[in-house]
Amino acid sequence: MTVIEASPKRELALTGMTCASCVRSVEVALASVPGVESAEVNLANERATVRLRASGASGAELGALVHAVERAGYGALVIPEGDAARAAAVEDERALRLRYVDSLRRRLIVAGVLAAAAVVLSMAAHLIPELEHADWRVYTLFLLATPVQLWAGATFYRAAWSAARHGTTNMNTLIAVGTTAAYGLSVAATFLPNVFYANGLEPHANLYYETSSAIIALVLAGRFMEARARAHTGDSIRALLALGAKTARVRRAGGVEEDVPIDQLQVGDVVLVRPGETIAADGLVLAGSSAVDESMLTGESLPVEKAAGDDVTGGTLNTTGALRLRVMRIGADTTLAQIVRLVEDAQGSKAPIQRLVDQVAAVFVPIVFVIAGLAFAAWMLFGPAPVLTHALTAFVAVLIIACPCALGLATPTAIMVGTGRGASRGILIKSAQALEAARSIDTVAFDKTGTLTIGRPQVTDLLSCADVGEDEALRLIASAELRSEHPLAGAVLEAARAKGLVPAEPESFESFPGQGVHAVVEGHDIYVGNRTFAAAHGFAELGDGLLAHHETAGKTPLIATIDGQPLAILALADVPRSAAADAIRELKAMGLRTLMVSGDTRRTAEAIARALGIDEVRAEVRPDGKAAIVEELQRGGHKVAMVGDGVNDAPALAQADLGIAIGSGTDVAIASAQIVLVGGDPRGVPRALRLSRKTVGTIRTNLFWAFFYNVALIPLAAGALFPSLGILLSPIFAAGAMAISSVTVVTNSLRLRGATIDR
Amino acid sequence: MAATMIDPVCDMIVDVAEARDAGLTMEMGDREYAFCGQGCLLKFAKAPQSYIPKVDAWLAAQS
Repeated sequence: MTVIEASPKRELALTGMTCASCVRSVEVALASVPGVESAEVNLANERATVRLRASGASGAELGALVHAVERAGYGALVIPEGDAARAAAVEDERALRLRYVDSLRRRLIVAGVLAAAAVVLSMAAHLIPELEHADWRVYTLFLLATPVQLWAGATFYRAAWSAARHGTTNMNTLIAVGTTAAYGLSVAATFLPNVFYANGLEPHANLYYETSSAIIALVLAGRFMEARARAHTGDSIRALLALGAKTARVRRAGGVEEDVPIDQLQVGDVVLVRPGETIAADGLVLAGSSAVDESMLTGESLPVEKAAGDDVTGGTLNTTGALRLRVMRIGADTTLAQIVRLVEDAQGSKAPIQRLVDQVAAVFVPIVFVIAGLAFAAWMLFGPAPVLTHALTAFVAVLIIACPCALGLATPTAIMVGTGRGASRGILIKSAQALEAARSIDTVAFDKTGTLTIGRPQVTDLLSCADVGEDEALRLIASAELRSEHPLAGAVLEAARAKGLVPAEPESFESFPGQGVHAVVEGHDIYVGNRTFAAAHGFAELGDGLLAHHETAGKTPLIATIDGQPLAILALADVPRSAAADAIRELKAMGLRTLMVSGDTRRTAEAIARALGIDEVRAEVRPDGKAAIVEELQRGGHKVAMVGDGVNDAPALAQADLGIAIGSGTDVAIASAQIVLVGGDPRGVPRALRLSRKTVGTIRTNLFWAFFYNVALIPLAAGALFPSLGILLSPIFAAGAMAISSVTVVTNSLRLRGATIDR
Repeated sequence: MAATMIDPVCDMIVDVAEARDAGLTMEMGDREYAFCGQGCLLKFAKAPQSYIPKVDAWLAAQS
């Protein structure tokens, strides 16, 4: 594990890959470069991740990587480390892709026009018999088809050749061999007709110029549409990156303001954010108050109120008021940058099912050649006249139709779009494996504190026993607790602040751990603490009934005395997050079993579970016991998702089939979870599960169509239906069908962009 | 506004204008709190209520 982490990683942007077998070719080419430990290529985002053996790759080594990819017949660009350089590289990458799309477009236009002319001219021969034997027709067809074959189709030759040099084959081999067979035979018939006559064949009946050029035009059309559609699968990442502001208004010493480009911003700079502006970096509000729209990060549509002392996240939108911020994190450290990195990693990861597809694709092409060869031989031996025409048609059709491009795109495009869709709703899916795991979940176990509840106690009840009002009692208790570090003290101060009460500085303060505090406030002797502590300092006749009532409800009582007399009884409890009950209801509606795991007392845990409608409670669990509970459920045959706040639940998150961490937005890189919910809304759990189901569903339909297409159409192309139905697939239709299947798969994946995951 | 202010966390006396230029002041209510450094600023931001009375007392002593 440490070895892998220590080995340096380089990323390359790639172009020109078309199918699953291209992935293998590039991986093999990269792995053959000295110093490379492993290489993983993703077809959908056209990236290669290369792990290097030696520490610190020199420029020469990087050059060698690019060179290896180019020798294999593809384009490559090294994506540098570091943020500013990375941003520049994203531009270069875009330019590289645009150049590829442009070159495809030029070739497609030329091939399309020439192929259309060739098709018309050869069809015309069937209608106008005089044309059939006109020599000019034959030469014109040759002139039309040759640029298509040798210029527009050059990419296929180049890629097929480099694959051959590495001893492999890919879909370019299929197309190159298929069209060359058709084109080569036609050229022979054009220039060496005597050879045909000598064998009793009519040379002008063996012209396939329109077939070879139409196939090349159609395959180019498919690739062109695919390249354009594929450009959209990465939109979500670009959208996230686009969230970042370009400049920030910085307040310099003496109050001078200036606009500064975002990459020159420093930690500690004071930034002014006007209404309607995007917040430039993660920061702390120093002055002003406003509502900030954080929906782009958390999916939560209601703007969040921010005032001095609150944290704000770069990329979120300031709505109504002006804010002055101190910049706390910049560049790669910001929450936005962390999210982008997580999503990129997820999109580059391979789903287990994809490895199988890659392996199938690697043996696919040789098998197809065997089938095509067998079909050719069978037609030559047993076929009806004209034997060569039929045999060649079947041979070319099998080669063309078998291209595994749709197969190669089925999984990665769905994963890219699915993870991108999640990121736009505050659901960060860290790997493709998580998507597959999420689909089969039947039990969802929740950690209580910090996940279903806010995680901080709040004052829920206050009963004043002295002659002072409730507010005054609360103010005095808050003053006594002012110097205390205890979480309950924080809750009391919070309650006082919410009521607009200002606590006084105590004249003296001492803390009795596990019992309570004693302070002198404005001359009064005040004790605040638990039942025993209060009884010892003047609260003799405790309201046992009231205390028992609070405890049944899962609340913690806090009792205060003033100058030896009862002052007040407070009850504190951790309250459920507002959306927790909705989340549980949604999960139940999806047919899932819900479970709450808590270290709290049974009474407290059950009170919360009742309020939320959770099926089952495991209370008084020690921190290390959570993983054991998950394991026990798994032994019972359940697929368990564990939802926790990611800090103390790490072992349980790792043990579960799917770990879901609820992140506060600033610590998104939570290691042990596979899905991170930014912003802490528990409704993210049902949303994430729905998104996974939809994404995996899309992968399955994609794979079905891709496999179905290949398996069903190869026999048809080979002529299996000819003896019974007289059907023999024209290679032109084969090329058209292949293009359609790739475009269908990509389009099907893009549908996930608009998928609803709220119900 | 006063030219100097007590850092509510560490009790250091801070020049408010200098702190403001360094992004080390925070405006809450009608008052501008000033800090010696980022550490104190962050501590205060987490729990301002527990430090405010100290500033009240210091300001009262000044006048």
